[in-house]
Amino acid sequence: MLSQFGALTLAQETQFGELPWDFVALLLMRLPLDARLRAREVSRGWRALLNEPRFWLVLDFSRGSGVVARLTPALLFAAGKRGRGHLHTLDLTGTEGLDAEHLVEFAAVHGQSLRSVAATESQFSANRVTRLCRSAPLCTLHCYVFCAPAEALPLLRCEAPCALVHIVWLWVRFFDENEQAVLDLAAALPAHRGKIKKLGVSFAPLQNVAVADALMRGVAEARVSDVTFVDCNLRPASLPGLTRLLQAGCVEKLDITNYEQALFVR
Amino acid sequence: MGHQTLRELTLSYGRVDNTDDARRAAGEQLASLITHNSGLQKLNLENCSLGEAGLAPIFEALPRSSTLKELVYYVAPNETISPVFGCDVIFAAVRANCGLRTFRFGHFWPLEAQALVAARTQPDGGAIVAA
Repeated sequence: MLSQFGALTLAQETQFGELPWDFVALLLMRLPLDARLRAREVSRGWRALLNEPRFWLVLDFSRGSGVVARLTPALLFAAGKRGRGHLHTLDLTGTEGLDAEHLVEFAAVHGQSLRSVAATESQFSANRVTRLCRSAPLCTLHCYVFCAPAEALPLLRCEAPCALVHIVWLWVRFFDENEQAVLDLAAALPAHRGKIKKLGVSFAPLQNVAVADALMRGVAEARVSDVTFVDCNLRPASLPGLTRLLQAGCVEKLDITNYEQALFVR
Repeated sequence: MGHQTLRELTLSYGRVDNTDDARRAAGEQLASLITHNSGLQKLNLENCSLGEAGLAPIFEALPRSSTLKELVYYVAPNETISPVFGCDVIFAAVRANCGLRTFRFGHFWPLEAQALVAARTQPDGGAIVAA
């Protein structure tokens, strides 16, 4: 039989018994990733077959992928090694056990072939996002970012080398009472319209109503659905801006923790 | 105006000026949100120090909400809620709103209201609630 996996010899094919060679290949392709790695230990035939990089183009460790093994850097790199030079997609959605630095290291090895990475819920610093994007210049990166406002701006604007970054969850902090930083963030947010699911802002100086309103407009234009403000000195005068944000129809979840500042007053 | 997309609202430590007027005004705004928002499922007012004046409009609005499933308040350390208010306002409102599935008020009371809501999540909770 002429197979798409033509590298194997007839002798090796016979090690699959009665089953057609391509049929076995399809079965193995459908195994969860950890089982596929273990399957290499079953026989020399299976190992030879699973050495084919096509089995490792997509590494799906996401929740729901069927992978039961705990995700460790060793497991990730073992799977990556199989698809070296061909690895196309890495999906770590909803997983735990890896931090952002492991992904940066992984991208340093596999970045040239990677086209899509959905990162874990580990928080990336802006620096790590930039390093990963440099290693994988043609890769779309979905990630959680935790950074200062000045660092967030180039990411939101998708400036090089982060042209394909897609921030799913953004937490911005350390404004140092700089209202201009808030205004800059507000202006940059719409550039990431529809991408950010959750935005957190902490210690931003929002006591100035005009500044608070600008940020609310930016959040509304970015169509963020989950918004958190922590210790941002929101005041009663901010309520109309908050109301307009809610009326924009995108926010499903709003969380305001306003220590030592009255939000409501007659 | 209702905000039909809003599902969860948390206003932790959203302190209110220490006057009954201010508390009542805040409570009325939140009550309006409960009444007019057809999607609100979770409201967390942890440590907002609304007092009885601010809580009264909220619990008066509670029976009119068909969507609210979770209400969290937590009485602040310096805040006093009387047992009479707990029974006449809080318990009555919670009993009238059959959709509430989580109710946390902090401290040890109103235990009856918290127990009533907790019973709704039990397999035979419907019978208790109906009673």
